Amino acid sequence: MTALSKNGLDQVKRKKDSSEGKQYMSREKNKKITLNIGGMSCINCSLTIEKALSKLNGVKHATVNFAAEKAIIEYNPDLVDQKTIENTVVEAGYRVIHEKIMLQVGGMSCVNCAQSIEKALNSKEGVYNATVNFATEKVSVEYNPEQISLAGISKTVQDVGYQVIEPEKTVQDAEGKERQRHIQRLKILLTASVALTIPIILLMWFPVLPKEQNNILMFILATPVQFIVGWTFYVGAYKGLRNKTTNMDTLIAMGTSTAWLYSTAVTFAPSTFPGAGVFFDTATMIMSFILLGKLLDAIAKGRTSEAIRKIMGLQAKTARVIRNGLEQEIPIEEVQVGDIVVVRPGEKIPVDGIVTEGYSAVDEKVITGESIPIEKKSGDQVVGATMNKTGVLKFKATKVGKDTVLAQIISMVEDALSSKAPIQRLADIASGYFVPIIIITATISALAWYFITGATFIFALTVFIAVLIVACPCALGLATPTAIMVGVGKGAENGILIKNGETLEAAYKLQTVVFDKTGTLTKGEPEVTDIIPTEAFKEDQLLQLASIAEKNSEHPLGEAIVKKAKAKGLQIDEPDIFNALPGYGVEVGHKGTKILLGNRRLMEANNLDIGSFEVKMKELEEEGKTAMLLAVDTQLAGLLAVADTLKEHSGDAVKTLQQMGLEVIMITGDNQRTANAIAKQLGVNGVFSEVLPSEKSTEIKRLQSEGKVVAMVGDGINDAPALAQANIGIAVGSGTDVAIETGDIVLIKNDLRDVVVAIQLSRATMKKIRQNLFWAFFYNIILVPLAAGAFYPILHVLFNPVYAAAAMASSSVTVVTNASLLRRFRPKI
Amino acid sequence: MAKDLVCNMEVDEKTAKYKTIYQGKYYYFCAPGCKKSFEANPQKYIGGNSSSQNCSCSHDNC
Repeated sequence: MTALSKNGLDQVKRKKDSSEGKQYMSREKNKKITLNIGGMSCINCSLTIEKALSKLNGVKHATVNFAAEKAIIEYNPDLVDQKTIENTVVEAGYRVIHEKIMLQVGGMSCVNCAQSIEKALNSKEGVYNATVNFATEKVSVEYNPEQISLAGISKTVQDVGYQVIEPEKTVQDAEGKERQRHIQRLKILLTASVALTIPIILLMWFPVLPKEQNNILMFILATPVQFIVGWTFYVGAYKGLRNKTTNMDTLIAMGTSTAWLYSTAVTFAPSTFPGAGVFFDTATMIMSFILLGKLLDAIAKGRTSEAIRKIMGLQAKTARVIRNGLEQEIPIEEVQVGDIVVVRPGEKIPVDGIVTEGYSAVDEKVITGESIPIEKKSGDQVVGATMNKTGVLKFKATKVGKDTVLAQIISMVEDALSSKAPIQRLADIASGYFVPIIIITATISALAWYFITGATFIFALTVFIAVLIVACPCALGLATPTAIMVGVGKGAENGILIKNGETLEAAYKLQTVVFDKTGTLTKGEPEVTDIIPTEAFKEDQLLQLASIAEKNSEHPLGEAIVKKAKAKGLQIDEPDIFNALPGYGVEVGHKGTKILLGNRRLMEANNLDIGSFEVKMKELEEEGKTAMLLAVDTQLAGLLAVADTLKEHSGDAVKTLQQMGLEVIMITGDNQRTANAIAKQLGVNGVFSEVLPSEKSTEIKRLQSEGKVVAMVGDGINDAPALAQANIGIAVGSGTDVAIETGDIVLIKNDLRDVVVAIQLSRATMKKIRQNLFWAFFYNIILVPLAAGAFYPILHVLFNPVYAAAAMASSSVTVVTNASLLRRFRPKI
Repeated sequence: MAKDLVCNMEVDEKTAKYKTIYQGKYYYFCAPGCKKSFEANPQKYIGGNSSSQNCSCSHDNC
């Protein structure tokens, strides 16, 4: 679209300039763009890109600056477009960097405003994608900063008729204030409207003056309501017209104006309308009801974004850092990586870092949702926005500004808010046609009543107004974003980050959940599970001997034994002689005795008979454990088994998912025996064993080809390709060290029950979206015909335009309130 | 007495500090370097064509 209109422009220009000489012409013909390139590691990369670009038909000249990471391309827009150029860069293996900005926009009164902003921005050169969230009043723009500036984007929004609130001020405070101001304004308008409407109603029922003078009095009262209180609807309708769109304001302005115009005509030309009454009360009551609806809407909207605002308000404002040997308090923006930060008890940790000094308990609930404070000592990681509880901590700042975990969480949540669930597209398409269809319906039904059935003019007029007023495109527009806002906010409160609307919809259709075994279902490091001594030894004694034997071993199995002995408080002596026997075990000399620890073959090589232990050993191995024999000199002392054990809540998570009707599959690179042993403990529905890490995504693809909607749960680092392949990738973090980029859902806590919570929450949110859309459609499908008088022949009642206004106001309030009910979501596990 | 197959030195099995098992059989060494060399390529040494030139240990009498 962009390229096309640009071409047209260029052609026009060229025609005009043709008289000015050939050289000028050729310069006009070519276009020059600058792209920011990512992923270049050396000068060779820039040559690769240059070569790839130069091969494109239509590219006249391409230079890539490796140091500046920029590509400057001169091309003929008639032959090639920007998209092809960018694709070529990507195909060459590099990235074209798109900047992203979130703007707060004021003055949007309905979903159609959002669409006109989107339309205007998307038609701008340099804008890749602009999405407007009507509920949060935010515009997210992906753009090329080389082609369009931030100021240019703001100007585009202003040109369509809306205000841009300074991007720097998009923090929660400004947003909250803006909302408060909006609510305040609506309250004033509503009060004025009601104050004038009440006397009008009284005059309608108890005329104090003769009819004509009474009408004039009502005209005097009603006119300010129509044009001062109602001014915002005219402005909204005008903005819509200027962008060749229509919106809710158009309907309200048309409906009330009709009532006012007719009544005014009757008032001042009574002879033209013999015996006709006025209905100034209708116009003003409609205004009042709609303002009330808008006010309730604004309040409810504020409530739905409560959780999100809470997260954004978490950051500390200042930090105490040590500079030049002095402790000083500085604004958080000025903290630099490497600064030593001091945090006293009861203070918030300002940025992310690593503890260098001190000991304290830190409450990380705001980030992880975990309520028990975590102990922090030198070398431990701390995360910004968490609360220092008991001691003074000094730490070195490692991440500041937009790199902190909190900043990443906020940006992910914001992205989620500006995303749309695919189901919303249906509503978007519908609302685009909605208003014109309503205007046509209103006109046709009024004409039909008047001319075909011979109804009175007043009857036809009532029908016309009622149809315009009752129709509500707002409910359609609010259905999805409000529910997403509550759902995403609720998740973030619990350490569950949901990335976009598509995830919610996929969660709704989910059939299979695939878990990675090592590190996800299991702890990922082996642990001593069994200690079986012979009669001559005690359990602790056996463990102590084993730990002496393994003290200098670097083998993970050995480390597990030493860890267990330490945990039991056993003294671990240094052995005199240490021999690692590859493939067999270890042999050490300790105080004149020889300790052998290893497999069957080690015992065979020393001519030791393991006799009765063989049965036990086989049994342990069947359970997926690694069994080791220990002998002292020539005497067998016992058996130790080591295994990667399940995480505490893995079993619960698997069981609950199955109860929810999901198929649970475990995937692992381990051998079949070990895999089956763990699978049996968990009771999963299927096991994929001996799968290479690179093949995991192939297995997911295979499940998908069977028509299944699949979620993959993994650690987000090794499993990244499989997470990407799955319909929903769920990355399980460990505490605050989160790989936030991977996965559609990121679990900050290392607790698999959150997988269940995430899926339940996604489903609950999706259910709300569907409910909301249903009600929004259903409402219009029932009430528009009712207002049009379709049921009049049966019911003999006509829908009063005032009731239409009340119904219309309540419909969008209902949708928003229904969404905010999601705040009561409690997981079932 | 056993022989360090890497450097051909005589080693006492009972007091030898460095040993390993290969194909179920113990081998003894004078120093960690010899053990390392053996474990890296045992076939080379058990073939019998050992010579003192291969010694990688730092023993004086090696």
